[in-house]
Amino acid sequence: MKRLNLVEVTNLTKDFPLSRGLIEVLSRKRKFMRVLDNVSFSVLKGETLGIVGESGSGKTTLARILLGLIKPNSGKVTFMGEDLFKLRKLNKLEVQAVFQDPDSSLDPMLQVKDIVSEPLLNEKMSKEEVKKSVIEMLNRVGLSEEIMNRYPFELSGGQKQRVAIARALIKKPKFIVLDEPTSALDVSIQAQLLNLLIKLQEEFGLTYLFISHNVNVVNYVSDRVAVIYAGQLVEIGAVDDLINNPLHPYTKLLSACVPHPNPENRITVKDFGEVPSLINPPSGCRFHPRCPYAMEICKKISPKLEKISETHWVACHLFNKR
Amino acid sequence: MQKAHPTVSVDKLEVTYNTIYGQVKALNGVSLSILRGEVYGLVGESGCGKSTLGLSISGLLPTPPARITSGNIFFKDFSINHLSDDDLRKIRGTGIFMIFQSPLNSLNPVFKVGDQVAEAIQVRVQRGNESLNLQEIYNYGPTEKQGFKSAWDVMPKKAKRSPRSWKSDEIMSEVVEVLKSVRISDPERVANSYPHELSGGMRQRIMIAMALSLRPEFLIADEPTSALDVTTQAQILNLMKNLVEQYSTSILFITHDLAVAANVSNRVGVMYAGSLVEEASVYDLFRDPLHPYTTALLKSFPQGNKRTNKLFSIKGEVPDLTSLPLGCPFAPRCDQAKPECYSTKPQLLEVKENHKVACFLYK
Amino acid sequence: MSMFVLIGVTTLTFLISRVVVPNPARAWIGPKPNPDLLKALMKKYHFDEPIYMQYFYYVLGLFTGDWGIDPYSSIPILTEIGMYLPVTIELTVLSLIFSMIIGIPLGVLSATHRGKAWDNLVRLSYLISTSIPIFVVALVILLVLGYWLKIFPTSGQLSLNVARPPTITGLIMVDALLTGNINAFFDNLYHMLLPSLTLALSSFGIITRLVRSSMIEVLEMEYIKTAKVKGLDRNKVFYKHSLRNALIPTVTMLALLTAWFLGGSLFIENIFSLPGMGRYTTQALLMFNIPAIMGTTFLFTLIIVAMNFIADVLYALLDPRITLE
Ligand SMILES: Nc1ncnc2c1ncn2[C@@H]1O[C@H](COP(=O)(O)OP(=O)(O)OP(=O)(O)O)[C@@H](O)[C@H]1O
Ligand SMILES: Nc1ncnc2c1ncn2[C@@H]1O[C@H](COP(=O)(O)OP(=O)(O)OP(=O)(O)O)[C@@H](O)[C@H]1O
Ligand code: SF4
Ligand code: SF4
Ligand SMILES: [Mg+2]
Ligand SMILES: [Mg+2]
Repeated sequence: MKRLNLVEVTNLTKDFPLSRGLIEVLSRKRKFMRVLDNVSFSVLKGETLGIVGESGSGKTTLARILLGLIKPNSGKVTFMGEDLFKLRKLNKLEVQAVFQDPDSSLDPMLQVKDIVSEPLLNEKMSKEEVKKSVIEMLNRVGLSEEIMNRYPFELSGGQKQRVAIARALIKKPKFIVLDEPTSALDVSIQAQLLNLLIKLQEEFGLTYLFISHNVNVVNYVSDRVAVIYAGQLVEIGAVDDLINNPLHPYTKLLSACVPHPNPENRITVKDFGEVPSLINPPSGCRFHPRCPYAMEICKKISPKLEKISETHWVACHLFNKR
Repeated sequence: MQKAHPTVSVDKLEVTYNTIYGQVKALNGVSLSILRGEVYGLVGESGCGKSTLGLSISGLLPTPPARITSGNIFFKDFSINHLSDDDLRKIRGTGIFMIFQSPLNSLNPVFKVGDQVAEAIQVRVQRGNESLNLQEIYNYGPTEKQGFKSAWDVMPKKAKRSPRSWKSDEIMSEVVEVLKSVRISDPERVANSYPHELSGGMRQRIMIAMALSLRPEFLIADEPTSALDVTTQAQILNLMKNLVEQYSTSILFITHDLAVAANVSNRVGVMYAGSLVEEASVYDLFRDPLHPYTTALLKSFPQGNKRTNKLFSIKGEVPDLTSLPLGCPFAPRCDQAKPECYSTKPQLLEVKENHKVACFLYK
Repeated sequence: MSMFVLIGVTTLTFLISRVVVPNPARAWIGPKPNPDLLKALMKKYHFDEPIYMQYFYYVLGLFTGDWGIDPYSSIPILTEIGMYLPVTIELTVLSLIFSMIIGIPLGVLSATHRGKAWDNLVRLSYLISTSIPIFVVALVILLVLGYWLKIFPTSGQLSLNVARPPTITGLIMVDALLTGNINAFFDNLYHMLLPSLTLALSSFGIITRLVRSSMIEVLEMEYIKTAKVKGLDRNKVFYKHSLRNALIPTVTMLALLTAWFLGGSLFIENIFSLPGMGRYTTQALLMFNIPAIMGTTFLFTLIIVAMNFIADVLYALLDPRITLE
């Protein structure tokens, strides 16, 4: 059975201007750094697509583009077949987000009930109806309604994150972008939250884009996983493909660096290489300075995503079948 | 076999913070000891008192609001918790060093990182490049409270050069060497950068470089990798191991990540709400966890995929440290709790060889 | 930003001078004007042209060195300022130095002994210093140190038996140093000590308070813990690692302090009989000498704007995170 593409991203590229010194301003030489480079993938309806990558690899930038918060320099994003940047504002509520830091995403001056009901502001609903749906949503995310009149600073980290999820869900969106939703939380609270997200996904038929640099977490919640390196998509596939059969040398390195709660299975990697600069990125394959298999061609030509199987794609010259 | 002397040991330590909400009992009678060349992993949830323990040992607790209400801290058999800040200075650095939780704020923003590392090297050189001989520094027995000789007084003659001559090329070249050894690819440039010009991972490696420069006998690493991604984390764990191998440093490795603890530790202690609830060798702890809290933590660690593995989540929440329950602090969340668990606090007892647990299920 | 301040101030001074004295030429000439002379004067100084052109000439004058003429002495304002300014510069710079010498260590002492006796003493002292009016401080100091104990001279710039060094910059201390006249240097310093100390005593509280609060903040920072745990000695932790960070906000006070000192010089220079801008301004005020008043106002604005700029530069020098735009 072929599933529908809910979101489609094609050839997305995003440059950020570098902060400029006096000399560059005067000489009018603006420097840019390419944070996302020609990224294409799609998110299937009802699935969780995990995105992993090092810090600074462009994960949050990707999330902000998908939420329509910033515009890409080139490339296209479609949501249910429509161009995301032409969607009317109301329809944008079909896409919601939960961010890493609940402290900065929740307005500290508002009570929980006002935070959660914020997306309903434009709806013609009576106060009673709003209150009812807020209570229902809070219960759904495992919070009691007593907390309605509290302010964010009176809540624990896990509670705050639940409030953020309740706000994201109250308009029954189709697509939720989760950017490091559990990175600030302890394992036990993280477990509660992951279970909650999985349960809500089944209940509401939600589609998730789950971003994290914690590979264990991404592997746990995702159906498919995409690996980003320095702004380039290097591998994407079903989660089993990526766990059992990582192909791209960077994915291999990443997997080998993941710690397991088992002292008999320790990390043995000795060679890590340096994180690349985005200002002067390596030519060709951006991973080549760190890659043990690098060839001459890797320095010159940037590899394209190649299909390995129905579910598995990789961008590396080692798998170029020409 | 004769029992080895621990580098650091903590004996029934109690620390409280005075806050407007009441007395926060951050440490509630914690005892542990860490041997030479050993990595002791301390795991536990946020707010259970891990950093408080680290700060107590390094003598950096903010007082007020914090206060050590009882207990003792020993560094190589010498009690150090009553020492003045000036006296502590003499054992900090080459004796005890600490890497703090947030790499973003642990370097001084107005000095070049190279100079900050150079300071660490200077401290070591000033103290004669040798590991501290406490017997010489302390002119008293372990329990007396008396005056101190300074490190300067007991330093070998050859090290007593004027401070000027240390800030030579020698030190700068050692800075570059040590930055290389923490795998910074462009050490000259990085040495000349200010902290805000470096990423979190780089800054944390600078902190490790300081540790490598000081060659401390005891290192407290407070969540040194929590803010970093997996490759950088793996790299830093590797560097920690080098420190142990090269200089027999003992490390108290604080983390809330069980997997990280499994990777670096020789021994692991599990903390809950200000108490140590289980302690064992890393293999025993992960193979055969005894305390219900430890088992629950392990079961809530995400492994595999949601289709094959159900994540366990501990019900309820961490207790309020201002009003701890009378008995076992874990009792309100424990599914095996017995009546006595609510009335008496279980003591940390050795129930198997080198495996201690504080729970009434094991007697 | 500073451009706007300058435009605002020139407009204001221009308007005030025209409102108070609609036709300055007439005021200069006296009660029985000679009509031809009046006309000639009005033409020379463009008083016959429309008001916006007058403003234009006024601003043009300000920036080309023509600040008008003192009607009483018939000397150009700028020349007069050139004679009076050096003393005030000396006074202000010395006061700045003294208020820092007093203010910064007290702030550090207070922060490092937070809540203890030293801290309370310092806080009391700066409370007193900022609440007693400056002329009271001046008179008390003058009375005690000058007249009773007779350790310090009570007026003037130099002792009678010390010759004034040849004028190079106008600043006696600098000129004395340039000509190798150490004697005059110390004599001048000796004379300036009481007035500048008075200014410093009535203002060090501003610095102390700021240093204390930013030092307390800095001492809680993680990097101070790092410095301590490295085993650095007390002085390095407090004076190298903490102080530099704590001083960054203090730099922003530079312009404010300068303004404070310029205001204070009105009292101080009169009390200590120093021929500086403060004396010049008071005389101009008493004699309703509008061009002189406007000239000093513009000058003081220029100085404050310049100090703001210097503060910005210092800020960027102290804090590598800031770059000058
Ligand atoms: N608004 C912006 N202006 C300029 N540069 C930016 C901006 N936002 C992000 N960047 C830069 O773009 C790069 C990618 O940032 P992004 O936040 O997308 O990374 P990330 O993968 O989410 O990293 P992390 O895991 O640390 O959150 C970084 O180098 C960042 O400094
Ligand atoms: N300066 C302080 N004032 C008041 N209470 C404090 C202070 N520092 C810590 N606490 C409290 O003491 C308890 C223990 O804090 P500590 O920082 O040691 O926890 P932790 O285990 O290191 O947590 P985390 O994993 O979040 O770093 C917490 O409940 C905290 O709220
Ligand atoms: S393309 Fe070349 S350099 Fe890049 S990952 Fe593949 S083999 Fe390595
Ligand atoms: S002592 Fe009782 S409550 Fe505490 S962990 Fe053991 S069984 Fe559970
Ligand atoms: Mg991000
Ligand atoms: Mg902590």
